[in-house]
Amino acid sequence: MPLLEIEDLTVRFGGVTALSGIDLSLERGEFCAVIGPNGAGKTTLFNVIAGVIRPSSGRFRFDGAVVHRARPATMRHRGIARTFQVSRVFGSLTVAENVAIAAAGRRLLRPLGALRRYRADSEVSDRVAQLLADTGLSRRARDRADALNIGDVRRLDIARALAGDPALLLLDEPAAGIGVDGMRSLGELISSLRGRGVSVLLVEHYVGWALSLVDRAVVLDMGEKIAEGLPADVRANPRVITAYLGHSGQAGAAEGSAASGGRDGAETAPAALPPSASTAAGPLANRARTAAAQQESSTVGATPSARADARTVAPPTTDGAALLRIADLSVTYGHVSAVRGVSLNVHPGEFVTVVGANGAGKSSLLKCVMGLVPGAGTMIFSDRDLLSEPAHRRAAGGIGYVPEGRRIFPGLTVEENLKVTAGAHPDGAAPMIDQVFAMFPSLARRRHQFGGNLSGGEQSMLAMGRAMMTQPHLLVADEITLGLAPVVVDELFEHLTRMAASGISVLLAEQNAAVALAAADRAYVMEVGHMTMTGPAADLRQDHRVIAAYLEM
Amino acid sequence: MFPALVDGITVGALYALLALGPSLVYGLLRVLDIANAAALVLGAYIGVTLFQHGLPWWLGALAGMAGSVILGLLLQRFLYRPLLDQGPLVVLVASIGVFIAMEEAFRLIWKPYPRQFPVTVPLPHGTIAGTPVTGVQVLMLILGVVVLLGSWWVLGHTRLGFTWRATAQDRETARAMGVNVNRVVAGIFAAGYALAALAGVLFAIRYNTVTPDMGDVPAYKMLAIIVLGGLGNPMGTILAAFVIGLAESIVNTYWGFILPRDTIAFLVLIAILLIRPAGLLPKGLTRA
Amino acid sequence: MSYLLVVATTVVIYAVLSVGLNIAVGYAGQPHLAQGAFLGIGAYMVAVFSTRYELSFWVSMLIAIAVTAASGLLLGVISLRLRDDFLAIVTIGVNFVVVAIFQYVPWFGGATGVYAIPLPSIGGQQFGNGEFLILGLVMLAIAVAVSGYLARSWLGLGLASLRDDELASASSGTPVAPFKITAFVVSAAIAGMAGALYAPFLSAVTPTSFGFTESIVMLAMVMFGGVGTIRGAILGAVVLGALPEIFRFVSDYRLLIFGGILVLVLRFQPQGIIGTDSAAAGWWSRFRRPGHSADDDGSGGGAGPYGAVGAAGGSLPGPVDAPGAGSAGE
Repeated sequence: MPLLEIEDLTVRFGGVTALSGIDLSLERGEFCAVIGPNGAGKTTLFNVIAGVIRPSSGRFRFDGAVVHRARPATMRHRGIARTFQVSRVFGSLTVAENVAIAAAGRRLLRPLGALRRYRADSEVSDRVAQLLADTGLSRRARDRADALNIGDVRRLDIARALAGDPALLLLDEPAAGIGVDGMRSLGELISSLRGRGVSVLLVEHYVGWALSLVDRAVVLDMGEKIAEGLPADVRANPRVITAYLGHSGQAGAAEGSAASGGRDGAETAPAALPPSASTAAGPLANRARTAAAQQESSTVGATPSARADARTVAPPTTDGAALLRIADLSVTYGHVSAVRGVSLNVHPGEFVTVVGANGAGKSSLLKCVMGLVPGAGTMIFSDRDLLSEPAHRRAAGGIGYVPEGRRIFPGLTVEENLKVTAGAHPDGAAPMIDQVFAMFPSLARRRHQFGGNLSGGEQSMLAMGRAMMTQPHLLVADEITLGLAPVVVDELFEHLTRMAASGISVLLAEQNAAVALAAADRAYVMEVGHMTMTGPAADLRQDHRVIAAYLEM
Repeated sequence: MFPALVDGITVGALYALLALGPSLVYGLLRVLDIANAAALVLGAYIGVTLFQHGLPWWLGALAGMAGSVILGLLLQRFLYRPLLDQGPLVVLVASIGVFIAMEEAFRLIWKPYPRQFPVTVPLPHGTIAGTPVTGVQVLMLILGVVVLLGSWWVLGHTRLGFTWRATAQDRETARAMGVNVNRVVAGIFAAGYALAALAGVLFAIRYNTVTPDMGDVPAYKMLAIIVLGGLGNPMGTILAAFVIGLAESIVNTYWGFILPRDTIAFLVLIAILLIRPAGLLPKGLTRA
Repeated sequence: MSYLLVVATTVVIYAVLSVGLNIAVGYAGQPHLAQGAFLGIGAYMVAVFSTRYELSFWVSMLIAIAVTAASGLLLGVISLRLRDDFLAIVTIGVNFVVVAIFQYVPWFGGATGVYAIPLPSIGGQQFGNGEFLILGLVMLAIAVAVSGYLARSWLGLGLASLRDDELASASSGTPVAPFKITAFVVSAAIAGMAGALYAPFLSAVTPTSFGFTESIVMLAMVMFGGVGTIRGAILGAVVLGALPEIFRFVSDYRLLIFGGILVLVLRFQPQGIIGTDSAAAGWWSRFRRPGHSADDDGSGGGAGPYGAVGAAGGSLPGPVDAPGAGSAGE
């Protein structure tokens, strides 16, 4: 009998179906990964099993018993322990105390047990010492948990979860933000758990890393299970590749890769990305690309002199240089470093895309350009030092922003959504509103509706129109395809390319590499906070290493 | 019934004036600002002082509002803004500290004994259905309606209104769209403190007295009203202000309730929070 | 001399109250702005039972502790259902409700309160100022012992964990509800004990002496010294309790100073003057063990793997996620 059995699980939030008809079972001692692109429903599935979200329908059995009212506190006693994506260790306690409270078990439930001195309990302290040794934290036992780096925080989180001797360990994106070295050593720790007889369910967006650690993988996309099987099979599965790199293509390109085994899949990975269904991609090629963009098709570590060459052939601007120049930029949240030493240029009228898997740091990079998160390094936008400007001044100064998830103001009407942005521009709103409505006629018909009542596609158009209200020189767009039907995606890209053709530079971060590379002039590939490749988008479309960037790391 | 209604509505209008500012501030910053009630006392004192020096009461009220605006701007710039990332509780406790300290300062500056504020408002008055209605009450009714309609109009139709709503719904995106959030916050503080000062002057005229501790009960009742109205929902706050004002008057007049009217708000609040832990009308304008 | 004894006793009673309040605010991280009301309940119980029912002080004191503990239980149960800032508002409301009950329920003596509370006696000997101080110190010793023991117990560790992160704590197996309620009960019981001494010490109780202002004064004491530490609670009570008595001019500005101190401490030294993360604590540990940070100091807790930082190290709950930021799903 499987340890965990989930049948026909469906979760709806309001009108949105986050998961539909998911089946999942897990044997004792089995390690299983749940992977899938951004928005696939991984975290929702995790939260159902962890007792945080109650499913709308479906059956959930654990250890032979039906789980009816799952709650975080009771899951622990059933034998399900979890870790957290964001740091949730007890910061004011020492590392050892963090583990001790979790190792106390039934002592906490008996009134007299709870009143014992915890330091005097040698049974617990021995167990804590053992757990800390197992997770490589012995040296830090007496340090306060809020002084740990992110890698050690994840270890502590695992130690704490193991302290209750769970039958099932749920790991919630443990690799997020810990860097390549951290991932390697955390991977070793997770592999070392095999001797304990505990089952592991690993929800992770670093596909290659996750697949290297598990016996089996389940792939979710847009709330549905699209694949399940051995890691090597999953990695080679065309539907999986399409799910990660683009929804809009036929997934015919992946043949021949299934035979590869283990971690070496990249060698035999498909040589080309799925072709985009985007009809807008064709005319793109005719558009005059800036010479500078062609020159920039070097690797990221381009020397300053190479960049100087690029400048000499760039089309005339105020200084003949890039509109946006980013050099050696790093973005750090607390202990997590999301972007590390990234350099990137966008030239006037150029359409640049940054592609990469979820968690690569694309969103952080764009938020930093917009001033929503602080960054360190160089960021020059038409001769201005952007890093010293607050976000609202960047918006007024010519940068339009389409946030990830669109982030329409739900309680404002379409027109008000536009007017909020117009304040950044002295010319007033009315002429620009007319322009936006001319660009997106369907919005004009809904001008008095609340933003929250629009469809996903309309919200995307509104987000784009809202960004246009300041008449920007640079449009920064974050994951505009997320959760949208291919037809809508194509339409949005048509608009983007038209904007670029009209002289507005576009910087687009996109997980959907197939569509983005088909539309853009030039592309960067991001992996775990670093830029790993750059070149003309057309070249990268043919480069199998882009697939590796998604499925290998 | 009629005297209780008149009393309830006029008091409700005062509560609405007082609670509107903190409710808008909560919508933006998710913190509760009790010190807003210090503006009520400050406004009343500035008003009564100028009135005693021979100025018309409305000029005193304007001066009181101006003084309170300055207080509000200083507090938000030098106290609340630096404290914001410490969590809502720290700000709440700090604002209580400010409020208590300000009250003591008023006591020291203007002496602890009550001052009279004898103003007759030249508005139609008389008896309706046997109930005497004073000009001040008529003025409070008018102002209550004006504030109610005015806030509805400002929030719905002006630039300040929709930038407030946008910022309350999604601060980060509002910044990215060019909204200077600090300026919106300052504007809301200024407006809220001005309204509180106006409430203070009206309170003082209504009861013909100004004391340093006149803000005590309104301050904490204001919290109850904001919570009942659904935190950060200005229209709900105004509604709750009138509901509380009326409930107090009616319960006290007709049920002979054993406890004073000032505790009714809290009893209602505690009861409602236990049934609806997120407040009465949660998330009015800030849909996720 | 006797004046000094009175001042000292007042300070000691405040210290008992702060140490008690620290259990709910510091250990459990709960916003608790109603300690003044619990002081009042304790004082009123002794006042009423020792005058109207002519029970001895000691029996009245036990009743007072039992009733305040029960009130603390009620507040603890309420706290389970409410978010931080709502709970803070409810505890503010508790002050007004309790004072109104004292004022308007005849059993409590109405607006004039209860007068002529008999002095406690022990072995036929009536209490003088010295005895009040001694009993106060005994109570302080009890409060410190209870709260110090609590900090070292599983209960204290569990409270510290749920203060830092309630969801993670529940996921680690901490029984959140009974632990939180216990913190409120112990906090209230200690306040009731202090109240029991306060009533005969003043010889009269009036409703308005136990209002919201008193609760804020006690919270200011805890925060002044450093939330989460016994030493901080005592220091706060000594400094803020003695100032108005020693310097007469201060007593005119008492609330101005308390409010100001609360604001300044929160603004510039949120960990309190000698709290766990305060600058002073850092200097002290560097002074004692040059070259080591405060975190390395493992000598306090004796042997074992745990290090020095125990349950007694905390702050008010940190920032909550802005609503809307944590949307469901991914």
